[in-house]
Amino acid sequence: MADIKIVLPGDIIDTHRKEDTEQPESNAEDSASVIRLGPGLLQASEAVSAVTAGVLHSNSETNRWWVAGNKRRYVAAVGEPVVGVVVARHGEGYRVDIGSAHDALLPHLAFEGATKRNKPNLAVGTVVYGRVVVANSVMDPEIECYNSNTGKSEGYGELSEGFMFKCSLGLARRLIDTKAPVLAALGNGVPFEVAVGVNGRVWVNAENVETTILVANAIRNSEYLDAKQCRQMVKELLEKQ
Amino acid sequence: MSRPDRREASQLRALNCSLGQLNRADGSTQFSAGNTSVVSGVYGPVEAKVYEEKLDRAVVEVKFRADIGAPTTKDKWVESAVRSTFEREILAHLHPRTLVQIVIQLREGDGSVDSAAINATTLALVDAGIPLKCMITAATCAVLFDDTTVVDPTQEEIDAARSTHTFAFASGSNDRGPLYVDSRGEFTMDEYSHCYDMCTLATERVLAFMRTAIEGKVTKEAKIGAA
Amino acid sequence: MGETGQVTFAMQTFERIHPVEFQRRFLSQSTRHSGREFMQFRTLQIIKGAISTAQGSATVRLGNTTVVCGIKAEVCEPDVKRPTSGYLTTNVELSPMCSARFRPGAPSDEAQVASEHIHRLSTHLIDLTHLCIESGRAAWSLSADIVCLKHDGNVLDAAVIALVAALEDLQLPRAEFDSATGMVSAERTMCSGVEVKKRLFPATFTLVDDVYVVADADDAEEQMATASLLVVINGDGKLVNVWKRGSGVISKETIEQCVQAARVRMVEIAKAIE
Repeated sequence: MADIKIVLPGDIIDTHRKEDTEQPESNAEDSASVIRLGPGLLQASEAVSAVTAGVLHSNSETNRWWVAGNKRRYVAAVGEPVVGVVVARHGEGYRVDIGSAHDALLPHLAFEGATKRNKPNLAVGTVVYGRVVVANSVMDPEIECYNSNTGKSEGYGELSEGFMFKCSLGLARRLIDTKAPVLAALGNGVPFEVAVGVNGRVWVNAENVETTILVANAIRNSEYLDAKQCRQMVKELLEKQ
Repeated sequence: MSRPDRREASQLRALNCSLGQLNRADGSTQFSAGNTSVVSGVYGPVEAKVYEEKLDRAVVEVKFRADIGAPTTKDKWVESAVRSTFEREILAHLHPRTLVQIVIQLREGDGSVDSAAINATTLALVDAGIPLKCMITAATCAVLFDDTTVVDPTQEEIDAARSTHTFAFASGSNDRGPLYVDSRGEFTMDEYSHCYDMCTLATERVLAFMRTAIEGKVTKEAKIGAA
Repeated sequence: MGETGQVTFAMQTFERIHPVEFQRRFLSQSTRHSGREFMQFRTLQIIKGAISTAQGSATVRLGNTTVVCGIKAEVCEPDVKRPTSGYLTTNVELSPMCSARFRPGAPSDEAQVASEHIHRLSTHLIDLTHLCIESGRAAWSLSADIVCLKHDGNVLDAAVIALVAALEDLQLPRAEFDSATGMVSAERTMCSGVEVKKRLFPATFTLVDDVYVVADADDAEEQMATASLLVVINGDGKLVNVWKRGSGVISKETIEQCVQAARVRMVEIAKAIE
């Protein structure tokens, strides 16, 4: 924790820092010559500089560098699970609001077992859990509610009943981890279902409305709490019920 | 010689900011320097209106609202100043066909409003995670009738000044030249150069302040994430 | 089509299909498509008093850019806070008439910003207390309408010059306040001018394509501008305004050079106004 490096936009990143000190002999050619830049970094002529504020991370084996920061606006990236709301129906598919600049496209056939004749009929306003398959800056994003390789839903699809709420993208990323303290603490107290989209949208469902609201509030409260505080907060909420 | 609030000539007023106060905006800041206080909110990248969308980059829109009175051309002037300063420092090509909307609300104007608006906007853009080439910081100084130059003047000092100068710089490029200059009044080239140097120093202090503020927020979030 | 596969076409065609590259070809050879040098301004032509219905007017031609300024004077009650001051309001109009870039309807942002900026500069031009007819009861309200007829770049310079010239042309009838009736009577045959404190001499420099600093850019060059610098000097040779917009970088030294160039330009403008 001591040596976290926080960068601001415009800061020049010295990507040679690690190589000089450690493992000079093992595949030094590969790792030193190819630097992979992740989110928040951009190459400007010779130097690499940060474009967003956050904690600088690097992986010395793969020589990957990225900046982790919190945001509230989602920018779609391939492979990420998202929770969205159907906002329109078209001949080819649905338009789904996933919180990014443009609505995502969800083809009619991107569901488990869907065929031309037999496809799910989603009303406008339905909450769906999907995975981003097309994401680039020039095209509208596209999502699917099944794994196109296996043809199985793998948990994606329509989310009926329950309750969806928004949170920061940083919190959503932490919740994706099943060991997230707030989810673990809640799970010990009450049974509930949860679908976390990294687009900052979380859907929860429990046996009754009171419990659903309790779970939703607990997750929202956990934004700035560490593991211990989370457990305490959940305990207090459960006692009040 | 002494200033009404007993500051040194090169001393800024107490800076204060809090990030992410508006929970509906994608990024926001409340920034104040002494009694001058502005709130800046950033939305973006969001969907642009069809007629204004640019195919190769994001559109940057700035709205400035004064603390009192109906919108005037003065507000438009500030909007144009902020937009022209930020338009190319935002890496707009990363989010084509979208809109980055910056809304600045003046809470209290006690001099040096233009630079406060620019500083608040930088912080709000960082808070929203909009990719920026660099940090932009601004400072104002005034040359009084007794030929003294004061940094970060209050409205009282501006009213009594012979000329006022606002400069904005991009971080790490002070030697390259200013991003934005607005010098008004009656002044000589020497006075201009002197104000330039004073504002350069002042913006460095503003940048250090911003860095501390952002680091505070990022550390807070990073610690929880790692725990 | 040449034998080497090269395509040749007329210069005008090149300008149409690739305006940016067209300009770059000139700029990279240290010249401009108009044949001017980088720091050369266009010729200035000023006609005072072109509009007979206005109390003061001037037409300014800066190359192809044409701007008309008309000043109307009306009598009104002064502001309670400044009972001995009159008013001077400025309005810049960039209508679709001057360039296809502007749409009819509400004034564009560009026009509003120009109006506001000229208004701020106008405080240097005349002493508003000279517009007082009777303290707290009546004062002249001058409204300067600056209409752009032809927009070929650098409208702001032309507008400032037009305002200065129109104010010098301004003739106000002698007005007398009758305290018994509260009426103001004006004698049209007895006119006098309003003293212009100090003339303003503007000079705009434009950073084109992030590299070249050119004086008095025309419309084609303004389309490629990444920054612009307005320097205004008053009759005493003191700076009144340095205004740099746009995030292209103009170094401190270049700004100093531009101020020097603006001083040279000042002489040219003064000659044209006389």
